[in-house]
Order: sequence, then C-alpha cells, then structure tokens
Amino acid sequence: MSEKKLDVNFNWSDYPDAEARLEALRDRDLEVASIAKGLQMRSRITHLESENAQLRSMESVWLTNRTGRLYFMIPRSLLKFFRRLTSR
Amino acid sequence: MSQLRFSVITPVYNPVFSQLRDCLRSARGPGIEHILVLDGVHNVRSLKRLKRLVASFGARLLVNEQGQGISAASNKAVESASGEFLVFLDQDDFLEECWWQPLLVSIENSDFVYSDSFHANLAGNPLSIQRKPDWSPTRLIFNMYATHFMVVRKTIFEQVGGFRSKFDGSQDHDLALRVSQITTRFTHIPIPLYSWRRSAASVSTNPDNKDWAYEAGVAAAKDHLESFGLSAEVERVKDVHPGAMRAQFAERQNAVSVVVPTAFGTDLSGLLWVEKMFRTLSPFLRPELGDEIVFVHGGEYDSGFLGRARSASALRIRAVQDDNPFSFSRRSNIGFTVAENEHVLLLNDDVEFGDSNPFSSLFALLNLPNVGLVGGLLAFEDFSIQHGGHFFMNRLPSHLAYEAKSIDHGLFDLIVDREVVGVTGALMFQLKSTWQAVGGFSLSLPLSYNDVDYCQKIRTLGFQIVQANSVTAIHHESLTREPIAEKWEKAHITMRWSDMMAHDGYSAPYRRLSN
Repeated sequence: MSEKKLDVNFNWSDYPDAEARLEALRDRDLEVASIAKGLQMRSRITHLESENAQLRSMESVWLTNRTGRLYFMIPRSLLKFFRRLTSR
Repeated sequence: MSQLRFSVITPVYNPVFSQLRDCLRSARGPGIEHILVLDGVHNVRSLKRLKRLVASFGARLLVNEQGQGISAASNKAVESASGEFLVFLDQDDFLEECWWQPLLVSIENSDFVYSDSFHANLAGNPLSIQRKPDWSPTRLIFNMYATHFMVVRKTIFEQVGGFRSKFDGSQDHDLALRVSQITTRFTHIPIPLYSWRRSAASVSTNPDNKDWAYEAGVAAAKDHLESFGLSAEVERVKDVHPGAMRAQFAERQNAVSVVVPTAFGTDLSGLLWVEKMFRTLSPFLRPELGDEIVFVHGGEYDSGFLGRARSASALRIRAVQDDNPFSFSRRSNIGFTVAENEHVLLLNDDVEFGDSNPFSSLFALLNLPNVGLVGGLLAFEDFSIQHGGHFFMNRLPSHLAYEAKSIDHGLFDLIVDREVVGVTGALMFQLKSTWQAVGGFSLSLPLSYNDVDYCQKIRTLGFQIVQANSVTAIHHESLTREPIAEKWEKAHITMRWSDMMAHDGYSAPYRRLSN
C-alpha cells in the first residue's frame, strides 16, 4: 500500500489506515499479555515442582537455609554446641 | 550426592595459616576436591608447614616456585582439576556448611553460578550480608558484583581460554565478562554461601587497598565493550567508589526520531517547559543524519511554539494532531507509527537536558546483546532523584530512590548503568521494531502504569531493560498535566503482572536493607 507523503502538520485521522494500525497494535498487545500470563503460570508451576524436588531429594537444603539464618543470629560456637547436643 | 564433582581452586600467596585452615575445612565434602596452588616460594619452612596443613585436609598443593601471578597460578590448578565445575575461592574466604547443596539444585542448567555473601571479621564471624543482583550483564561491565566465589563449568572455562595474566587483580571480572559473551546461563543463588573476610588489606575493608586491581577492571571492561564493536573510554567513578565505572561512548552514526506526546500545557507555564525541553535537546540532534522530532498533540493552544521551533532549527519537526482526549499510550503509539527512524526516543515534554550528550550512551547500551530498552536517571529541579529505575515491592511498581537527596544508594544502584525491572515513560530509548513486537503501549492504560506494562511486555519477549545512570536529565514531573493514578489502574496492572511484580532481582534487596 502506498502512503501519501505527510505534511509536517497533519491530523492523525488522515493517516492511511490510522485506526486499523492502532487496532493491530491492540491485538499484538493482547497476544503478548497472553504469552506473559502463560509464562507466569509456567514459572509458578516450575517453582512448585522445583521446591517439591528439593524437599524429596535433599531435605537438608531447607536445613541449610535455616542454619544460614541461625548463623546470623547466634555465634558459630554456640551453634556447634547445639549441634553436638542434638547429635547425641 | 550426584555424580557431579566440584574442583575448588584456591591460589595461595603468603597465607595467614589460621585463615587458610578455615578455608580448607570449609571446602571439604563428598565428591569435592580442593586444589591449592602456591604462587612463589619465599620461605622453605613455611612451604613445609603449608604442605602438612594441606595434606591434613586431604587437599592437593601445587607449587609455582617462581611467582607468575594469580591468573597463571589458577590456570595451572585448573589443568589438574577433574571436576565438572570449578569453584574459585580466595585463601582468606571460607564456605558455609553444605554450600554445595543449593548449587546442585540449579547447576545442571547453568554455566556460571554466584551467590550472596557474608562480610566476616578476622575471626570469621559474620558482620553483614552482601546481597547481589540477579544476572545483570550490563551492570557486570561497570561493577564486578559477582566477586570472589564463582562456580564455572570447566568446559566453558576452557572455551574462553581461562584467566588472562594481563588482567591480574581483576582476572575474575575479565573471566566473567568473557563467559557472558558465549552463554546466558548464569545463576544467582540469593543465599550467602561464603564469607568474605574483612582483613586490613582487604578491599571489603578499604576499597582503596587495591587501586591497581581496579585499573585492571577498567581494562577488562574496555576490552569487553570492544568485543561488541563499541568504542569507549572507561573511567572509574572514584568519588563514589573505586570499583564503580562509567563509559564515555563514541558519537552515534544513526538517526533518531524523538517522539513527544504532549498537550502543550493547559496554560502558558506548561508551554514554557515544552520550549525548555526543545531548547536543551536540540543541540544534541543532528539534522544531517535525518533526526526528527514528532510532537503528538490534541490541537491544544501552542502559542506559536511550533513555528518558532521550525524557524530556529534545521531539524525536521513534525506535528500530528489526535482529536481524542489525552492518552499518553495512544499519542505515543501514534508518534511511533509515524516516526521514520528505527531508533526512537520517547520523551516527556517536561524533561530538560544538561551539558552532556545523552545519545552516545543510549545508542551504545541499546547495541548490547539482549538489551531491549534504555532509560535515564531523572532528577527534580532541586536535584533530588525523581527516577532511578522502577523497582517492585509488595507486587507494586515504584520509582527507586524517589526524592532521595543522594546518589549513594545501595550497591551503586544510581551510579552504574545496570539492569532494572522497568524505566519511566518520561525517557525511553528503543528500536521501533521492539515497540511493534510488543504491540506498543497498551491503550487500556491511558495515563498511569503504561510504562510499567510496556517494560514487562519487553521482558516477556526476553529482552532486558537498562537504567542508564550515565544519562541524566531534569524532569519537571507532571507540571504540564495533573498526575492521575486511579484505583482501577492499579488493579489492572496488578492483574496483568502480579507474578512478574512478585520478584525484583535487581533493586529490591538493597532497598530492603536500606530500609
């Protein structure tokens, strides 16, 4: 489709297929939003699956995180002392 | 433990034995080997003591009798490593217990892994946590944030040719940059997996301790930019931090279309800002390249502005009238549609530029792989921050460092060019094809949050958004129209991007700490 040469000042409604172009953008906008929704759902499912896999195969991952936090709150020596107590 | 094996590599130079003992103790584990390489023998008695210490922990010691530098020493250790992954660990650092377990969760799909860290005192007790951003290849050029503990797939390490001695001191920065040139499979583990000890000579205590190392970082950044065909002068922002860098890029060679959605102000004061925007922007536009400005207005009173602008400038200045009520999204889309150049700067009519040319950085950063959109650092008239990139908190978007008086915010967040979750629609630089690929600005959000929505759509297509803190401007925000943020707009953006807005791996951790 040939487009007329536009003046420096012009009205949008005079532009070739003006509203059709915005409509096409709107369709693409919805399409991308729909792709994003799918990706977000997929990511949520993957995250849950990964969490389940971690819990199944490596229970101590969770413990590692917990100890990481504990490190921050209590001295290392005290943590070791508790560990010795609980391992008896 | 799976069949994966880690080879922990520790270059050793004049060690403190008590600290090295912590390092050796922490690196033990099933399926893990620890290789140390002594770079230069100064004392035979110390060497014997070191050999005994290393052997007592079941590790291996290699010796470079003549010191050849950290890169050569590390490469030598890698040659004898048999693990699938190389774990680089400094002699005064130590790993947290069970450090390999979080790695195993994500390592199969990764070529490079880094984690958060503790800053520890000399005794090894944690003082603070250093939170690192998610994978940010642009930020990595200007700020080596993936410091010290790096896990690299051995085949990738070999493919890039290992460490390079000419970057000794920042050899890890150089390696990370070269790995980023061949793979995007980087993983950030947001858990502190190691401690970085604050010794008197450490960079963590006084960043000026290793000035020579930062200069090597500058050379590595420059080398990396050249690999993308970008000519730049890289300099350190020493007054903020010796480890922060900025680039002065060469002048652009491509034309730009500047799209300005406007209502020309509801009164003469609004028009003043539009005139100011035009007057401060036009010195950086080049009519000989085919630059143009497209004003999209609603037929509002312009007080002869367009005529004055055309007579004062050789630029192509176009004006498109849209008779519908003001919608930022609709007028932006109209401007993009009629723009004749592939590079488009979307600009608010109340932005004012200073002395530095914004286009060199905008063009160069958009040229980097995976970058889909670039924004700038905007300030109010009193130089407090208006926009330092978007960040997400409680599943809602906001401007980082809004109204902050200082740029010393977080880990260089307002200093270096870096990845963010979004940038403001007041200043957005992109390709017209990117705008088209995402369906432009959503007409369902006419006034607020349309920029947030637009950025998330760009991220959905796999592009990254870069906040160019080297591009600065004054933004007289909402002086030319009333700021409106309706409840339904908030609900709409939440409905569309709730999951995306649940996580911000670029800015939120620092924000949380500073709060």
